[in-house]
Amino acid sequence: MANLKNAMRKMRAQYESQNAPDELHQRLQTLISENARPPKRRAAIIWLRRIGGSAAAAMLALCIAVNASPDAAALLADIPVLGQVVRIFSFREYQDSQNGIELKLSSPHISGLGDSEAEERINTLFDEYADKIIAQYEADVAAVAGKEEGHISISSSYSVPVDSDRQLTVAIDTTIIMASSQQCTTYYNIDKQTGELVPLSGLFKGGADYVTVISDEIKRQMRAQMDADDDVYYWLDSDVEDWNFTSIAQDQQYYVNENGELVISFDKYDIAPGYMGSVSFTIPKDVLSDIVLTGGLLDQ
Amino acid sequence: MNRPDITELLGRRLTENADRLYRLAFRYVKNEEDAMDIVQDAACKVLQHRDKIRQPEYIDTLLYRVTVNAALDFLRRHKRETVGLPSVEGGREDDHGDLYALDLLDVLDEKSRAIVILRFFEDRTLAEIADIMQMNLNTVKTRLYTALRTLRRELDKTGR
Repeated sequence: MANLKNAMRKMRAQYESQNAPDELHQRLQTLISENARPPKRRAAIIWLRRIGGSAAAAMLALCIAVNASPDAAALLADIPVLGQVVRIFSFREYQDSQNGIELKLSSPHISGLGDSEAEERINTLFDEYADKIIAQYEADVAAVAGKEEGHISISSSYSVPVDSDRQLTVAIDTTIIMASSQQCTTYYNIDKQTGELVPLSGLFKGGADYVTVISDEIKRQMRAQMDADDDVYYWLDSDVEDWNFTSIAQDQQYYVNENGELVISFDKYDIAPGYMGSVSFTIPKDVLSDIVLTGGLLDQ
Repeated sequence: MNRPDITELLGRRLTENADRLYRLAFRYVKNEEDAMDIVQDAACKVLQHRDKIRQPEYIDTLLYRVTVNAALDFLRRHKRETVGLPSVEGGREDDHGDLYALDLLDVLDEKSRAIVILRFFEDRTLAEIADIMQMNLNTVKTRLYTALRTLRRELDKTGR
């Protein structure tokens, strides 16, 4: 017993003699100060999450470089030519750097949908998204002006993950890099038959409880992945219950892949530690067969 | 408690506890770089989810808990890389006195190691430890006594 007591005393002395390197203190200070100034810096993470859903006043871009002529812009950017007529092209390019904050943005427009009103509605959404990012950037620049350097890099670009006869999906990827990076992807799923954006609920029969069906399937896949691979970790059964994944949002980000399967996507940090990045789950067709809307995007 | 308050409080508690969290992480990974990454990861996670902190008086146990979790996650992720390798342990150059005294803790499983450290080096109560480790009080007690028996046996064996 004396033996153990003595060993404990020695261990404690040795344990307490070890201090964190200065570098850790510095890193924590950076992290804390980045989080300490609401709403400015913190806003940078929050506004990303809000952008997708809320419709702010669509201000016209006044002092930003707008490529007024779509054709000219199309010449500058690489232009995926879609199907027969539907085209998506870079409508607006914006690049600026002030006070240590950098923004690179490329925002698309769509043309050739056949329904000019629907087209305008969708293009307005793209414009509003770009406007919000630029406005936030300008606010951040103004907030740090004359005080300090911002060390924030924001980039926003688009891609076309799916373009089939029936459907066009445009993804806007926005990444914010501070001490660590935040990434968020917004998918715009366009039904070419109607020219309309399709919300997640629009894939299913009215009244169908798609949220529960999909959430249960995602939990099943999370557990299977964690069992199969030690490197995979989701906040699912973790001991901090507040952070655990319980359910998708009614308007969760999604797209329908080339095989006609539903892909549900989550932003970085949403459901897993940062090292997992942004993650997505493919929901097998048979899981949804009872609730899929006849004639909808999933009924192909 | 509104957001600026909780942010300020968290920042202060993080700064004050940096050494403690670092030591705890170091006991698992045994090198500076990884231990710093773990503490930074834990800090990041707590800051990001600070809106969900309901009981500011438990921030210290929360910080310990998230750090232990981050360390265990780290070990789980790197298990594959270390299996079959002889244990590579850095950091001994920082040690004083009996150079390898703390390595005695390595005979304990990962959770029991944290329990012993929290109880005997950090003077945390059993109730606090139960909260940190998300175990019930009796489990903590049982684990602690088993751990002490294991340590004593190990000491007798090695004659330290």
